[in-house]
Amino acid sequence: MTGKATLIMVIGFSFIFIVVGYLWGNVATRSAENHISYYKNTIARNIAVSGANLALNQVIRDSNWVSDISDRPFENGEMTVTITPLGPPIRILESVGTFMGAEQKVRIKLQRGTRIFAEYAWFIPSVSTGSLNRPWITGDTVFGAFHTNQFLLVDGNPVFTGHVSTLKGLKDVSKTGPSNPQFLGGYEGGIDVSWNSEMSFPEYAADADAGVALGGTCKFQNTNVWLTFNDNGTVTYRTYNKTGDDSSKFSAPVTRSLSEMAPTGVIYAKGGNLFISGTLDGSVTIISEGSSGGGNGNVTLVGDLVYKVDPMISNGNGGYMPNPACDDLMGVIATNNIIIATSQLSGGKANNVDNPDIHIDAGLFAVKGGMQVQDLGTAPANKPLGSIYLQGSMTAGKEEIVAQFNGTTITAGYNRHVIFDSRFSVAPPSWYTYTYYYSVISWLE
Amino acid sequence: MGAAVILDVIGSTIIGGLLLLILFRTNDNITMNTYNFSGEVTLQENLVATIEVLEFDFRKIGYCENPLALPDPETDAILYADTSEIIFLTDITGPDLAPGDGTLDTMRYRLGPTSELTGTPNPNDRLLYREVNGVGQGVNLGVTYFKIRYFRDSLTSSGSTTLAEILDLPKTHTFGTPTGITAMQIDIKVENTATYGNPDDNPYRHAFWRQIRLSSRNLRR
Repeated sequence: MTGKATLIMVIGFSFIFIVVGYLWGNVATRSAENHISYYKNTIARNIAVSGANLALNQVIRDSNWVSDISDRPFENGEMTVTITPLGPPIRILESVGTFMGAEQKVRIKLQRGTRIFAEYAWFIPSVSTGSLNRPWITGDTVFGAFHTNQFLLVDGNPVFTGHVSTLKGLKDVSKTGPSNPQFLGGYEGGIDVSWNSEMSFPEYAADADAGVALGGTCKFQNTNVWLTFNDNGTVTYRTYNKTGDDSSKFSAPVTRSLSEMAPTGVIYAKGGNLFISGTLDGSVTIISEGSSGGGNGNVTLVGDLVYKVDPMISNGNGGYMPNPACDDLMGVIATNNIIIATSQLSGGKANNVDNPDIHIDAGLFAVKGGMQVQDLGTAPANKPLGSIYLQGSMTAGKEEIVAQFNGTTITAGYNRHVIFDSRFSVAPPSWYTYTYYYSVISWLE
Repeated sequence: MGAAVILDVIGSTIIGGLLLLILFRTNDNITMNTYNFSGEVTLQENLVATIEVLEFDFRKIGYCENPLALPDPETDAILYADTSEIIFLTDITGPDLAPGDGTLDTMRYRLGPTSELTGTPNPNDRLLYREVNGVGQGVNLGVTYFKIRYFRDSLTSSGSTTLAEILDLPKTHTFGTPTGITAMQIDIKVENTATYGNPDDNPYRHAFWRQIRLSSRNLRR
């Protein structure tokens, strides 16, 4: 009897311990699985991110790159990268990392080529010595990034709220005492932003031809063109095929809606000059192409050129931010110069001299020249004219002169008040000049 | 009945009683250990679930399928940043990393006070709130500690970039004004909401997780 009871007791306890041990073992297994699952997902995500970085490195260096990363072994897992074909400005890159059955994905949206030409409030990418002796002066203010591949010349106390970079450095040209430029966003010297090598001009003529085929009036050759943008979404244009800016000699005005006049978003003029002003309601890029030398290929601002809705509004903290209500966008491209008119005949005197200040809402691009004031220093442009209020960006082959001054006092011309329209960095105006360069505009992981 | 039989009965009773006491004690220990082990696993599962959700959301700070809606995520994505609360802009995605709808959403994480969870025996646990566009609710996963530290890029004397903690961070950020935040350190501690028996004898189990540098790529593109 005693032996049987003992046997039952031993078997009973053994059974209890086996069951409990099994349960506790399961608990330990669940605990380990919990951590292993997290570990596997983490490693898989790291592989996916690594694949994305490898691919980005390739596609940023070579915009024609086609992915050759497929099931590539990496850190005991595998990575596969796919990218949508070259063509549209947007390409989607997807990287999938797998590790021990876990799979993680990274999805990146890339945009072609706006990094150089639409990321700066003011950008002088050329090393042209034409930029020398054209300093930034007291009263000049730039909200946004600034870069020049030459020296940045200062004379007085200009203010730069964004990051400032130069290739050659900073040069104080003041003759009345040391300058004190304010670099509120920091300053870096020795930064080279390459010019031209990666730049590509769209086929403006072909784009304009496409617009003409759709019934547009968007291609002009060997004639000056007068464009006045109206705030109801229309454009009034006139032409004159001889030299001069006498507005009275231009042809009778014709008014069309912007979408009808430029169905492809481009207004293109070759072999003449463009004279523009008004209030834009819509989106357009205008191009004045001409030979070097300044006889044509210029854009002359005969008055304010603004959007119907203010593109930048105060952020309440001394800075600016994009106005969500604004969907107007303009790109202005000139082979040579962008000129602020001051002559009587063009109407520049009335608009830009007698009525001080000029307001410009656009991305400006003077390929070989810069922004200048017509007949600066001679009447009527021989007095202080207020400020150039530019909301957009300026890219120029070189600095030009917009002011004459004595000490810290302007004797003729304008101060510059530049606010970068940060919408340009993600959505530049249509047909704006691209570089074949992709930058990340959205990262999802 | 002889004296020997009586002695056998008394002896058997004593031995049987001892065996019963051992059995009861064993049963109690098994129950306690089972409770503790299961509690720890639950605790760890809660921790992993919490951090997976946190990582999933925080890695999308500043993401928007329509970049025009948020042109400067480096500047504008984080609206409010405090040690135990953060509000940021993102674009809620679908399953399997399906892209968002291109509309900005406001996400808020915050830790509630201990007074909200007086119904649990653990006096330290709190609700962790996850709110999207002002809608959401707290979950009780036993979180007792949730702290975020914010870091910015900083240049070293050698010219390389490192991270430096932002100690004078304003909590509320003005739209268009750079926060400078490029990375975060997130600490989370979770505890069991209840323990077996007296907490003095059997303290609440806890687990701690620290994400040393979590950075959304949209904050430093």
